[in-house]
Amino acid sequence: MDIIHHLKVHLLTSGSDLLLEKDRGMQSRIVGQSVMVGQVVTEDELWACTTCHACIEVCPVEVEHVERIVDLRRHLVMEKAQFPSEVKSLFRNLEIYGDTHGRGPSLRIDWAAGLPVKKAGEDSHAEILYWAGCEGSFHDRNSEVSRVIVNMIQEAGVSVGILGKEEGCCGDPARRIGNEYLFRELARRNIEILNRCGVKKIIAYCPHCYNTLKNEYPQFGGHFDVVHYSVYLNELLRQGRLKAKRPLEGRVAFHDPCYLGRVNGIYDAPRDILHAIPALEPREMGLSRERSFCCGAGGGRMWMHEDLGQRINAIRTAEVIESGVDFVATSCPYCLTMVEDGIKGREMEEKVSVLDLSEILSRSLQ
Amino acid sequence: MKIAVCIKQIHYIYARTGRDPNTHFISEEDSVKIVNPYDELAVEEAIRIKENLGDGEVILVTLGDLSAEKALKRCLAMGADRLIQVNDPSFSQLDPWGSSVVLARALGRLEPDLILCGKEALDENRGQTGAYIADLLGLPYVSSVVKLDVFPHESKARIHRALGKGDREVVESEIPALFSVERGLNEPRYPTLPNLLRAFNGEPECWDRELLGLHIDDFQPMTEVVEVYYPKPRPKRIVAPDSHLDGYERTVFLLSGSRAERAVTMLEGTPDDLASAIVEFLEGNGIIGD
Repeated sequence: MDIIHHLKVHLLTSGSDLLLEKDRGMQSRIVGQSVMVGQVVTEDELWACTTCHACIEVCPVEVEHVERIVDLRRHLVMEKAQFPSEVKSLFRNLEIYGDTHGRGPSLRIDWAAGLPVKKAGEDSHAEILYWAGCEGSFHDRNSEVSRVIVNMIQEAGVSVGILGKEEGCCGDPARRIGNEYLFRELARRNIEILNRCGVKKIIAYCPHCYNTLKNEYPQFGGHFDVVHYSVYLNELLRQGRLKAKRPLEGRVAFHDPCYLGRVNGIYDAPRDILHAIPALEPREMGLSRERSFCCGAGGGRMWMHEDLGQRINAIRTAEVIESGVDFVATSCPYCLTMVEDGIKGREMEEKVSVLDLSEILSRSLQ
Repeated sequence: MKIAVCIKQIHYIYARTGRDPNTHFISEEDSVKIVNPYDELAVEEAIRIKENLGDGEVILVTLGDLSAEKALKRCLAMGADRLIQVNDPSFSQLDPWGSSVVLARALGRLEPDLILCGKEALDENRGQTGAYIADLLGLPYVSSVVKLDVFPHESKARIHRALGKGDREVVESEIPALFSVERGLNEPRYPTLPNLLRAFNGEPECWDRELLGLHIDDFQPMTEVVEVYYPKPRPKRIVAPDSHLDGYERTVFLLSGSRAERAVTMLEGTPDDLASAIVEFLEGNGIIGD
């Protein structure tokens, strides 16, 4: 309702006739305080949201649409158990196994096999705790990135700890889809373990985990110093503990993950890393920074079928190709998967490689 | 209509990361405590029957300690009315026969119009209990149900059974009866939060041996597990790669499953050239005569 209220105030003050017509239309649809979902917003519209926050960014009257959309989703999920059926398996995996892939805690540390990481709790002297997240632990491609990040941080002489088998999903997908109850359960479990291990500083790979741990866990008693790995690596570069020596030729564009950029305002650290690499030519895509375009996986969309309209990752991929770069760098496991899929879909993988920021930096370190 | 559903709590082993051969390489976190997924299908079907008829009662019956209490209550939250836990210290070592005797006695007390259960449990895959209970109660038994229509006024049910390889058999049975359900019957619903919280706050009804009027001799095991072992992978026969190849080539050969690549010759040129090349090939290989 406050979306409409804000809009009305704005439209009245700006005196836009055309939009007033539309406003009147909306008004007539909600006469008598009828149900929001199904009349003002359709269910398809509600589930189509990737919570990319672009609407909030451009809204002239500062309406927070994403929170409203998530509220409406909450009503559907928790009150009515009404949601896209493919999400059911995600919820079950989170409930039973505590991760989005349904692989279970026993297999969670497989990605770190052979790495000299310490398990938090056993040795609390590790300077930082690396939070791999479900994607960074179980997804084949993203766990490679996890290894690269940890290797690099260790090269800079920092000891790295992990939660190991006790790490669970941060709860972001559950919360964005509207399963607040499940989110709180996952959050409570993680906060309890993090507090028990006496964790102070957390380096997160996934911007979604980063956002949840940094901005949402404090409400539930989890107060940690959470840093995204792009900021941390940039800091190590600035301090001279990591040195990008080897030149890397090519044009690169950075695809801003929504939850790193728009939600948390981190735009410069990833770009600084790319600028620090000799011979690399950083470019900007048509839509970047605050106006960046979503990869299509946020807001739980990673686990939903995309059967309406155009595929979001295909739109973003077209922009990538248009910008004429050799590499696309990103710093989010979802974005990596989505953009890589898009590029492969266009059979362009030999011309444009999709890499994580850390992978590009590590090539320049050797 | 009163529908009773037998649900089993299981330790589902999803990984073997332990180091000890005596525990079959299973460590503590390698298993999850859940309700047997086949039984969840039975719960869903019972609730759907109740909803379709617009009236009735769904009673869940489980045996033993509450090892997967949350999962049990989650089943209750799907829309069942009662949860009965049949438990007694003397029930700790039951074989399928023993479980069936105990469950049959409990189900007999409930006098249901229909009993549903999963076709087998994912922990031991025995699939015997349903049939034994039906026998003990003297009820018709139909297994592997993938579609179920109940006609309570005619005391009849029409059942589609899965015969494997996609075949279906349509059976009619009188009710009361016991049916064991197969995957594909339905998709269990996700419980709503109010139902979930209500179920979590409740306690199951507990029925013990005395209440059931059972004597210890009634449920003594008829079978005994002699050994449980972890099978060694079966050796796979592969063709040894040519020893003259270098290491890389040999690895590629082994990874390719030792299949020889088929030699392909691509023909190019004008249609006339192509035609004569094909004829030449066919003649050269003795496929057509001169």
